[in-house]
Amino acid sequence: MSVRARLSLIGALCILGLIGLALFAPPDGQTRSELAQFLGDFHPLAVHLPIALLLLVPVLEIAGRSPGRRQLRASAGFVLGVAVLCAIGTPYLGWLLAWSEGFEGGFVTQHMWGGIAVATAALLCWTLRGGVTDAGALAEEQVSRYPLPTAYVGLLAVTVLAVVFTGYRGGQLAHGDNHLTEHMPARLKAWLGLPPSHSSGGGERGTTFFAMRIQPIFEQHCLLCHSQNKHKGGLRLDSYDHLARGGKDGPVIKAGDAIGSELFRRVSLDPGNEDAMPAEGKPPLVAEDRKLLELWINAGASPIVGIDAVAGAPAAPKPYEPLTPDYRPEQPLITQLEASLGLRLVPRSQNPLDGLILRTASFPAHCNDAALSKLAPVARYIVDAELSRTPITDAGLKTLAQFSNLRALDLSHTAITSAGLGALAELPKLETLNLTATVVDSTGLGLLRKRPSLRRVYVFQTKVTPGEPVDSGG
Amino acid sequence: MRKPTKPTELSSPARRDFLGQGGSVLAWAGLASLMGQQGIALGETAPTRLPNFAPKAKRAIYLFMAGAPSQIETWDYKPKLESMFDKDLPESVRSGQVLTGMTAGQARFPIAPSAFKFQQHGRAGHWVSDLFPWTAKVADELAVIKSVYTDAINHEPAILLISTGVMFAGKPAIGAWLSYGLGAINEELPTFVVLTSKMPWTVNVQALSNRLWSSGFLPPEYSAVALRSGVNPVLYLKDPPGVDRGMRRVMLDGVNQLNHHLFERVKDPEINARIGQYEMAFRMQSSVPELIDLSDEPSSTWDLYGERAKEPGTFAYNCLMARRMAERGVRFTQIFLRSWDHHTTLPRAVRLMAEDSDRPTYALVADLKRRGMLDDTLVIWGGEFGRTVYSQGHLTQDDYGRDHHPRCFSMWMAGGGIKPGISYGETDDFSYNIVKDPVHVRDLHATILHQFGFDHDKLTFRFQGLDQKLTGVIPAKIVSELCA
Repeated sequence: MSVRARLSLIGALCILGLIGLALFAPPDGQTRSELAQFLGDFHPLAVHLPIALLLLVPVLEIAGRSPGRRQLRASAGFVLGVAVLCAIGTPYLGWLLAWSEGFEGGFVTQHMWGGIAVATAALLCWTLRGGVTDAGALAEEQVSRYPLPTAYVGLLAVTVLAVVFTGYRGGQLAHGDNHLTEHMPARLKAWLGLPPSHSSGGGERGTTFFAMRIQPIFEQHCLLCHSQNKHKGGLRLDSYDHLARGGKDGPVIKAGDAIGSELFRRVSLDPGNEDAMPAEGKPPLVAEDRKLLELWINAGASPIVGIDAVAGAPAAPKPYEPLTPDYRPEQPLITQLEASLGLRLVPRSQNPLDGLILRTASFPAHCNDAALSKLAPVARYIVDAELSRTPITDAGLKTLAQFSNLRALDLSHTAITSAGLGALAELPKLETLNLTATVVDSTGLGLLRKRPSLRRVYVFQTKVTPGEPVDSGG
Repeated sequence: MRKPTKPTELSSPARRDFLGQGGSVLAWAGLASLMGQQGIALGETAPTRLPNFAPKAKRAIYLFMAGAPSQIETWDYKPKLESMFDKDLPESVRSGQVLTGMTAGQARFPIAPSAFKFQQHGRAGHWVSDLFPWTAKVADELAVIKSVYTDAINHEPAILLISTGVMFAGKPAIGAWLSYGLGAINEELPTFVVLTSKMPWTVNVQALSNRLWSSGFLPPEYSAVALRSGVNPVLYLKDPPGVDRGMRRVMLDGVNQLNHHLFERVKDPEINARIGQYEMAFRMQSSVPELIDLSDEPSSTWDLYGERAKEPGTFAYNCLMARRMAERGVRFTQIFLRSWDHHTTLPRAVRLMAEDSDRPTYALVADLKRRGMLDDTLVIWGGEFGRTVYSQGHLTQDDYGRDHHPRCFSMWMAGGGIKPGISYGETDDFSYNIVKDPVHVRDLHATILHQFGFDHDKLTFRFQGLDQKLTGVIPAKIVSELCA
């Protein structure tokens, strides 16, 4: 029996050992001895070595085809040998990590079998390549001509694919399911057919306190280790049912008693404490989040209690609603209109869905009825129209009726009249209307009564009221 | 080409940046030349920086009560002091605090209750001092913060800290940061304007200097333009006899050409600022006469502000001017009223100060409100620190003084998306230590920036190797309870 055959046999036995562990002592969510955990923690570190070496092998094989680089092909066999050694050793560390630190779940299992597959495929490659490696003794010109066994080439390709798959799953376990797609440009994502990133507090969550206030905390801090694909300590927090089921050591919440709830206790510990959650130096929950958890558990930890039904909870931030479509595709037109009309269309913020301000303060005289009508193609992006002191008239108000996303309109110090205001009743989203120092009267206001979105109308220095010092608005 | 740029980007490559961030500026310059640009001259289409999120406030008017008004006579009602007249301040309250040289040597620290009564006003039930009968009428618009504190116990460092975020001179003022972050609403007027007011009481007055409203390390065009408090807010506004607008324009174009040549050679951003100033001055020749011409004000204005608002340079005139500037698109107006530093004869002095400023303050808030501008104009009132509960020197029921006190003072804000009619923070029975919800000056700054749509950690400018920001390196907190 050649040395190579004997080594292959030893390698195969080691892989059988791995398979045995995977079948008879799979990671089960329990935590075990400190020493096992200590050694296991080296897995994420060590794992990069076989990955790099295995990916290097095809590089050497291919580059070694060129006559000037034949020595590369000669070294490919040695590199493969070292890679096999690492590829067999690393899964042992991985098993130690998963088995001793309470890993469990679909991704853990897939990653584990992926690792075993890599080790097996790599070992087979090394065995099959045998002759080529021994060709180190051959003359140089023969090396390049010496054909690689087809089976070896195929198996090497399989090995590389297995490395990619296993590495990706490992990355997901360590950095989250979406660690590669999270910041992917939206267009690339769409092209790849991936779903767009979910915005926090999205619309489909329903209206329960749990869905809107508690689940987002878990999503931000807990799901990396406690969800479908990895449930450390046997605990999953990706749904209320799983939360209610608790972990290996029993329930983690006690309805009505936050202080007595294991989950609340663990997230409230000093980050230096061994039991503190989130573990391993991940950022702790902020005080507001802890407060929400405490209030919710004390209020009975119900999955169906309404969003506003937990006493004392600070109001939830309102989910963001786009005010306008994204104006950026029209930027060339916007720039051109600004230049030709002598007015400004200023983004309200860095968020393109916050819309534009129509700003005329530098040269109010430029913004007459004709200029306004030329803005029609970009009218739907305008949220706030500052038309104070402009020469617009009732004719201009007809144009404004097309500004479908307008929220705030300042018509103070203009020549508009009550007759023109009827056109504004068509503005579906108008909230604030400033009519200060115009000749409008109560008839004009009457035309706006049917506009339910309108919250503030200012009529100081008009014919509507003599002008109380304060509170003339509204 | 005009596109939103990051707040840290300069509008034109400056020499300092070549030294500081060589590579990226070289890349920038390369890109600019590829696109056939000559570099962007200031005042043309300076790239717009944008708020991080949609702002509540578009403008601010900061009523700066320089010299530090006493919180005990104004907004921090302490009824328990009435029974403690001339009693010693318990040692446990002061707890070893280092005092100023003005009172550290006093044999005792006798408690001086407020000589002025307080009453509750409005639906909000704010306790307002009888010093402010007018402001009390808009109590429901105010968010009174009783727990502001600062790091400095003397005027200059404290006034710099609250104006610029740092106790040393050389940092940009709040108004400069906002001008830098938001740009102008009206390019025909300055973005940041400072008005100083005539004083009704002139004992122990601290000097003001443009360190309080300079742009610091930001490009110089973000400094405030300080208008004079006399009859002519801007001198030499009219062209001299024999020079018409056309001739003035020709002259300016010539000077600008020379300055552009110089800028091409030495790349000193101050040159661009100078060009910008000449252009701003030229534009102000047209825009300022209309601004300061009060003949278009309706009689209701004078009913509200009082006749004193017709006298240039008074606090009342400045408040009216601030409203006119806000209407025309000035971003940030800071009105200074000095002489609140009442170490002695406090009751007499504070009464004069209040008589001078109470009605215009009320008028400004009420006027903005009725004109529909309070929703997006943030009004800020306050000084640089508080004053001690114990009397400095001589104490009688109606005559006493108060020393500087950095541990707590009161400010208020109104409009600009601030929650109206609330009181925030509490001090102890002596108005000496904060017992609830302290607000450091940097927290106040963070909150102001928040109302303008900025994350205070993101409105930055690279200088001396640091991404400098108004709130500095110590984490600042937005007082979200103040935000509507």
